Amino acid sequence: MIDHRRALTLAATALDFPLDASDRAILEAHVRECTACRAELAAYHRDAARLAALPPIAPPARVRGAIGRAHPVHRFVLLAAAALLLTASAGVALVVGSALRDARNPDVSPAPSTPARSSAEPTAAASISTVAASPVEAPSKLEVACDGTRADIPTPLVRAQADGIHIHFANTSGHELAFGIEDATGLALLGDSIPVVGGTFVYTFGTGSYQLTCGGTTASPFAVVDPDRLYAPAELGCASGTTGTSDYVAGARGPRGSLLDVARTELRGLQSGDVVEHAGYPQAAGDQFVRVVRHGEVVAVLGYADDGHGGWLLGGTRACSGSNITTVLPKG
Amino acid sequence: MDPNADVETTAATTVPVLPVPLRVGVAGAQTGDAYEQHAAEVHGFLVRTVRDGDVAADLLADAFTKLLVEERGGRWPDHPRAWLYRVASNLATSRGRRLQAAARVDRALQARHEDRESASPDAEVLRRERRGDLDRALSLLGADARAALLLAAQGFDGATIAVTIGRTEAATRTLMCRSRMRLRDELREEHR
Repeated sequence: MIDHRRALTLAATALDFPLDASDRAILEAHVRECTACRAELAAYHRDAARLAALPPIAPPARVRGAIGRAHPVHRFVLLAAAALLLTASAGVALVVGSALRDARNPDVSPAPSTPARSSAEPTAAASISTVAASPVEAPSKLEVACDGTRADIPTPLVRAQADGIHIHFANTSGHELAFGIEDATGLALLGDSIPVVGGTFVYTFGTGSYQLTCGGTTASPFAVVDPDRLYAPAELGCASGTTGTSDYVAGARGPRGSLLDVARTELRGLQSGDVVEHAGYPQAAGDQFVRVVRHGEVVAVLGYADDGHGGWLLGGTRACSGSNITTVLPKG
Repeated sequence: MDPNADVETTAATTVPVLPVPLRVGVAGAQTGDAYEQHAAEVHGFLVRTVRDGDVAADLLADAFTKLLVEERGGRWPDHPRAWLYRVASNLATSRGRRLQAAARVDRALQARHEDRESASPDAEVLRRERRGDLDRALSLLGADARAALLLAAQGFDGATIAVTIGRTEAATRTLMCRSRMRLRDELREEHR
């Protein structure tokens, strides 16, 4: 007869891994004779059953909205994709295009209030285009009132600021509310929670039309315009490209120095005349973007995270196919 | 760059610059569907493994973000549930990720989380659980051991768990055996 310790080890193992025939025979023979080990074996099964009976736990509402932005790299990729979608979608381009055209030429007549569009577009977007015809008059902050069932946006238009898009939420529900913002195509950009007392949030997505949902399922449209041309687009100007992402352990340090200098040291394949410059909003907090402009076209976009010690960690790179632009991380 | 910092860089892959828009949370999207089906169970697994509601929520969002990236890249996993548990396990047991989360203490967020927890029926379940002997016994195990036992509780066999937690089958066998025996000892102590 084997000792009790050996029997209990086999008994515990058998819960997760098949025993070979000899071990199984040894264990069975032991527990037939040993009341204590038989009881212990039953206890192992009870413990396993208790663990299996632990119930699922519904995640907080904010998790759903955070998908796609939980990681700086992923947020970078998604924002770039969102910007690309905005310029690629013909229907959306009408809205964005009218806003930008007016922004650059404030003296020209407003765009038609009912531009040609496909019937598949949401009617909400049509109402945005009307308002977006006068971007210079757009308020500097989007005012949103949420009552727990819908978002009320009296003036669904906001002017980009140097650090991004300011959205002020008034929360009249009496409790914290989750909200989310999608672009006009339904691409989820971000989500967060509005405190009971409301608050102002600053985001760094680009110009275009968007949908905001808070505390309910009804989406409210709004548009972002940039008459001061503060936002340097971070989308590629080509039809296909490559993407690469990096991940780091906590405490990783990046190269120190100015963001553009760091980017230049990590870029490969630059050509004479290529311009390496900051992208996104000039005073944006958090992740930063650098773009490479070649012959007037953005051929690469790099996303960087501040390491908290004056260094920059390259998070993601998107480059046009054929540009031959790649990035390398400096060896530690 | 810190020479001790591990850097993992994915290979550059060709992707269309104009991706198909993804509708997270909108019916029909694979990630949205997977969220509906598995978010609560994976969240429960993460809460019990990392033992911090905020960290668990962050990790869950990270796991589903990775799934979203897979969907965007046309690499939808054959078994999304197992895939989610594997990613969640890796995130939960990653020392770097845990430290990163721990360093990101935000008192305001913490307060908001507590408010949210107090209003959630699931939080009451968790609070009751936290007062129980099983939770206390689990808390005495390492994160890897907790993850392994909780994965087993979700129906994964030992070989699958080994792959999921990134250990050899032999090492996982030893880990789980010792963990079950330790858990039993602790529960026995509780009942004395």
